[in-house]
Amino acid sequence: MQIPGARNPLWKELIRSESEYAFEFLATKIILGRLNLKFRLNNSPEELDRCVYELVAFFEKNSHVPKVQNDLKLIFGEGVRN
Amino acid sequence: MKQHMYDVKTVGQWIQNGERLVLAGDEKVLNQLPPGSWIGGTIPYFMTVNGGLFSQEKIYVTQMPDSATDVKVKTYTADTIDQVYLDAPPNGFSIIILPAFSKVHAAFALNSPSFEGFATSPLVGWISGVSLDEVGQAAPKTYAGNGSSRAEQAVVCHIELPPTKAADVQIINIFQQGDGDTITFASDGFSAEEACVNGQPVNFASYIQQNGIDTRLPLVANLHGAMINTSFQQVDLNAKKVDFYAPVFAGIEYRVARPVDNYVNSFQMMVPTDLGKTIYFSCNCILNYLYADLEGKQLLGITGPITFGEVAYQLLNQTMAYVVIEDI
Repeated sequence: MQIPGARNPLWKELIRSESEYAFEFLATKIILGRLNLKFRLNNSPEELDRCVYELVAFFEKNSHVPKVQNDLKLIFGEGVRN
Repeated sequence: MKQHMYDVKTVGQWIQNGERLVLAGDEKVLNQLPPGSWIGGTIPYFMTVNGGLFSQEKIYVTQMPDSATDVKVKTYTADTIDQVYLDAPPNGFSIIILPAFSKVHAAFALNSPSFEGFATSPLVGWISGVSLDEVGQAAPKTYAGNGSSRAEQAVVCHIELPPTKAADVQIINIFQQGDGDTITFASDGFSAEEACVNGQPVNFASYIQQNGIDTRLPLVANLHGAMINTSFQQVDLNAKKVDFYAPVFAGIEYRVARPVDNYVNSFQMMVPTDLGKTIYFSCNCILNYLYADLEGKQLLGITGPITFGEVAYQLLNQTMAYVVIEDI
């Protein structure tokens, strides 16, 4: 599955705001909750970049999992293809 | 697949036959097992097909999945547990057992969300314990297959799966955030003196007492819909502090859980009736066992050890954690 690159602005949006997507994969919920908190405690541009890097790495590692693919489609729409 | 309660002689024979097993049982029976390809942890409480059970004779057995392409057993101390996600296989999952009250338990509980690679690979497991009569007298233990027990090391089985399979770690938590106050803490820890309640600083022990809060209900954090519990251990009004069974974390917004009338009914309403058939491994919390009086009561045939804490990526309380191996 093609994962949008770290420069895609939606990654930063996910870290900055506590979105209300109904994610399916437990780890998506936990890691994003943690990254939201991390950025709330240190909202520097460098921290934002680190959080985005971590989130992209998580999705890349798990992109073969159907629930993760569904979570990606929630964020980026059906444009994200298997 | 072998997955249920067996006597020590039967389990010993399987180990001698080369079976790869994950075991839960009282220290007295685990100490009788021969060296072999097994990991384990001490606990004498179980959920069985016939209901909740206390046994110091039987062992709960989970056989490694037939589909596993590789299995690696590693032990970790408080100084090395931060490597646990980095050691996970590229595709698969890891089962972790940590001894309660140990330094590695505390290190994992407090720091796992900051570990490199946190939550990038499925991690499920439990905190080993002892009979409640023996808390403070006997130390919970883990085993890494060589027949000797460890009170200060976590044991992890890293299980690799073929590309046609994926592991999915999930939780069942009957508790939801209640409608009461929003509670935050200034620092991470297993205990707290001060808290902020709706933005106002308070002594947390006094707040609990003055508001008549039922401490059998956990604090609940909502991480994008995942309800993460932290259970109360004790409220010490003399020392003016509150102790927890898992850490609270600075910045996270907690609420006391909404009361639950009947754990078994609530559980059955949340869970598909056939879930038990698809679960590879599960564990549930000793506090659910105690507060909901689960001895002799069954939970839709779902079985596993009843533990001093559950792991689904991080430490949880009052939650059932489980893993399903799916075809993809």
